[in-house]
Amino acid sequence: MRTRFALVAIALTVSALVAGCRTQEDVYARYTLERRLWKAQVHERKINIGFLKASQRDLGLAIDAFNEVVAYDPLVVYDTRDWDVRVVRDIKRIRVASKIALANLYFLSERFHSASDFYARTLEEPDLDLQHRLDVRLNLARTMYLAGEPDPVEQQCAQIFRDIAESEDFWAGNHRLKDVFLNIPLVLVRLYRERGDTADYESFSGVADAFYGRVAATWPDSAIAASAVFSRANLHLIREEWQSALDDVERLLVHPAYQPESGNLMLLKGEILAFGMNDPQRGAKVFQTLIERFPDAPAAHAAKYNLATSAIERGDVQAGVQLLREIESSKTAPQEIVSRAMLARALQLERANQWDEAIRLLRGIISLLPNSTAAIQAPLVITRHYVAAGNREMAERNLERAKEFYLSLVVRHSKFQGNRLMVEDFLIENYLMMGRPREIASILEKESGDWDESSTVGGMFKSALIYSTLLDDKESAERILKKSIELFPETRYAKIAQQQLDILHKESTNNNGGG
Amino acid sequence: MHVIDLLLRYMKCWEESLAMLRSPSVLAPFVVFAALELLVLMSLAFFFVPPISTVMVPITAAVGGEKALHFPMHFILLPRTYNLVYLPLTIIVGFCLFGWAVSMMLDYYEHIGVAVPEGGRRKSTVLRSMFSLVVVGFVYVAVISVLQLLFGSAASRVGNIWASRLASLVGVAAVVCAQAFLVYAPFHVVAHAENPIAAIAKSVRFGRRRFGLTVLVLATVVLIHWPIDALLRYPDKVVLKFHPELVFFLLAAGIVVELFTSYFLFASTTSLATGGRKEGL
Repeated sequence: MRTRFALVAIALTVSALVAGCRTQEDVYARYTLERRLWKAQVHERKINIGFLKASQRDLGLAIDAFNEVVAYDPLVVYDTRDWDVRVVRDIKRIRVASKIALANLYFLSERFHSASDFYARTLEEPDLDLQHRLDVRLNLARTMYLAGEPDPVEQQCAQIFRDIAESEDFWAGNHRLKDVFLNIPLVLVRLYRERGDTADYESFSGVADAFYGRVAATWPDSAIAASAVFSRANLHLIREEWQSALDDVERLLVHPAYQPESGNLMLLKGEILAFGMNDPQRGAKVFQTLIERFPDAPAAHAAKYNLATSAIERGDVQAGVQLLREIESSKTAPQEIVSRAMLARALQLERANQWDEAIRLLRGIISLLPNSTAAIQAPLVITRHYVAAGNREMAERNLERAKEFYLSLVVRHSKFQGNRLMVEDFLIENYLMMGRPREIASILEKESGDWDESSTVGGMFKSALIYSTLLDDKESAERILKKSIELFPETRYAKIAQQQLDILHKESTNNNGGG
Repeated sequence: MHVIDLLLRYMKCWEESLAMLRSPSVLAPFVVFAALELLVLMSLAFFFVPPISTVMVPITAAVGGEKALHFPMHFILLPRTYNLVYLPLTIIVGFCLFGWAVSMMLDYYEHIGVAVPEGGRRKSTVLRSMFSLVVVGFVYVAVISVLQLLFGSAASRVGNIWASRLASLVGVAAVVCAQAFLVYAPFHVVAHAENPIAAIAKSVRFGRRRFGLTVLVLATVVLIHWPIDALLRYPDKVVLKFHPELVFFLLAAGIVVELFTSYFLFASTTSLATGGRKEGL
């Protein structure tokens, strides 16, 4: 009897417990989603750890796995009315993160249209927070740019600015804005100026100025305020409003968040005075103060270089050369500034008819500091000198050496981290100076196979341009442009090549019609 | 006791345990307990699957916290969550089943003509002794847990890695020694119908007399479990380096191994306590 009573009691308790409990579908759905996400992240981690080592198969597996995560939307599959709000929030967060991760993977695999599609779909999420919204818009802009669609880039940048400026959360101090977003107004101002869109340039400059002013006034002593003042200084520099730029730099010099940047700010101040406001004396004073206060800082060496070039310009060659020598012998000067000092001294020696010493210095830059900008300029100085002196033989020999040097910089596994397109430009310049456009067009077409993607395309476009403009060989130009479309489909390169092809076709039609 | 003699007696324990398996029914209590453990483990590992999720989600959240409801955190926390359920299960159910096993082993010895105590070896007596077994189980688990906690915290506080390892090793030795004194208590409850205090007192006395041999038997059990226990000490690394579900499989493997080691432990201690089949142990 007692046993039966106990059993009934247990059964009732369990029934009450089960009846009182929810079905917990929400927890099940979240768990399933998290499990799929984990699997996808395992593949993603392999790619993040070593992108170069990760194979296309790894990338494909990660994309498939994230597609599985994105395809499962519990908020659509189930009736979610009685679900725990925290679980729903988690599910939304996972779905947003997965869409962004998937878009990033498409971006990595250079499937820019799929990437932009997923970024755009992420933006449709109703509860997307500001940080995610800004990140996604920036990624979308970047993807569209690489896909060769310039208009959406501007739209997204403008929208990023609107999102920030109109966000109550941002002005309430709930979001820490990355510097990249703070510089978006600057990007837009530059874009309008380069496009020659005066009305937008003027009106948006005012909007950007007001925005930076509001940020600086809202959190006066914070790092973001300092960044805003710095961005505003840059805005004034773009607009060549030197006095306003100087005022902002002076504000930053006393701002607590910018103290570690004092050296660079003083350099900027000196350059605004000396080169922007044409007041070399005040500029020189600032440079001198900078050199005294931070003698070993890179900015101090740059200031010394500025003093040296100013001295040479005003005719005080001895003082200028002395300063350049000091930079060259300094152990703390950055290599880029040392190479610039060597080049400036070599040019001065050339002007003083001391070519033997000048060429030794130029060869020294190429052999000692081959990755510097000055080293890239040096062969052109030599070619120009021999061409001007009518020494064809030496010019030819130098051209061979220059070609070898430039090609060693642009080859795919070169240690050179600078602007490879600039290297190509200098190579072209050397050949054009020697009057050999066909040879350089052929080199750019054939050698570019061993270069990285942008250098290859850059080389091919330049080759096509030389064929079409200097050599009037439209057929070769078309062949090269078509080849670049085949090599890089779905990219901005293909778009640009197609635009160039269209221009060539139009020109040929006009010429034929005219004939 | 001479070392060779000790080893011979140890081998005899193995022989007795294996011989007892001629009557496979002696494994029944251990199989029942292992099945129960697996059921609990599966309920905790797959708490999210309907319809058990209705009951298991609140339980998992209560035992492991909100974090335990998320993948793969749930698998990192699984050994700890499982341990929280495993300890009371061992005290309440495990020791009763072990008592039943000891009773079956005594039946086996009686069947083959070994003189065994008459005291409380009827099943009804075992049932009556359940309370005593639970108390013995509680003391047994409590002593082991306290020792593990003490030496565990000491090992984690020591800065030097070798000192920390030494502290862990001393902790394992201390647990084995403590078990050597308590492991005969269920036998005394079942065989002599002793109350828990008397059973523990007799167990301590008997454990002291057969200390070396008992420690050897217990050390064997610890060593067999060591590889799995060592992996389960770092579930986060298992999850990150291998696969989250591997934690579940390791715990399940631990249960299967425990089925045999528990049998070996109780078969050995029962044979030691009764004196074995022939010349005695």
